[in-house]
Amino acid sequence: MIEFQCTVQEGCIAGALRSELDHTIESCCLEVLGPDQGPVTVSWVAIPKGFGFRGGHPSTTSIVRGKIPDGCDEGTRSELMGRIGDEWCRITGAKQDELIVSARDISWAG
Amino acid sequence: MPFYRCLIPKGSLNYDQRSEIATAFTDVHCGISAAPRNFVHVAFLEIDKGGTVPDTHGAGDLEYGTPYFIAGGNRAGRPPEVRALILDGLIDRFSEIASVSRNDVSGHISEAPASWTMEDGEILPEPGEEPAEWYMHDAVAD
Repeated sequence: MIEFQCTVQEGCIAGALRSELDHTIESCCLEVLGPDQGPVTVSWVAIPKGFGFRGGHPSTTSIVRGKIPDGCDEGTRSELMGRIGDEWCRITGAKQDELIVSARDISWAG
Repeated sequence: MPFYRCLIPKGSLNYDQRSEIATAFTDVHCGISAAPRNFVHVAFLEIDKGGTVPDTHGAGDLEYGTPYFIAGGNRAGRPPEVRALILDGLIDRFSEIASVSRNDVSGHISEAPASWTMEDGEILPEPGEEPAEWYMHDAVAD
């Protein structure tokens, strides 16, 4: 079971791209972590204009936050985040510094 | 990537207050942690009815009993007293700028290993091990 949540700033990522991004995140997960690690779910949260800030300034940054099966080694986790990040930027046209990707163990308790 | 979500009643804060709080949170976090300013993220979520919010760092549903709640997520590795100091500072500044009683604001900061997050295409360093290049972002942002 893999769950991702994409938090985006309103107006920064076209809604029409969400489906492609959903599929891309799923593909990256299954290719890097293995096809038996699914299913993969992706949900979305949009921060309205004027409600998201970075360094005290209005933000254009997206946060793609995932929960993946426990036991992933550092290299594999890094590869997963890197691939998702590269694909996200390719599809959306965003710059790498407008994106945060995380992949935590599903049982991590904060 | 400190990420602070402020859960607030609908219509309770105007843009200027939200912007001022975001800057104040950046001041507090960077003043205590020495993280680059451009890495501090703040979002305001307007809610109809409070009570619980899912934590972003795996701590389950965070329960709260105040009208305003700060749900933070930071890199792991700082002493608990530093985490408490940051949260205290955030609550102080929030209540001051929002003109609400400190008793009306509560919060929680969860943590996750730095290596589980990639920002600007790079795995985050542990707190205190930030390379000098990190601070170049601040020159761009400010």
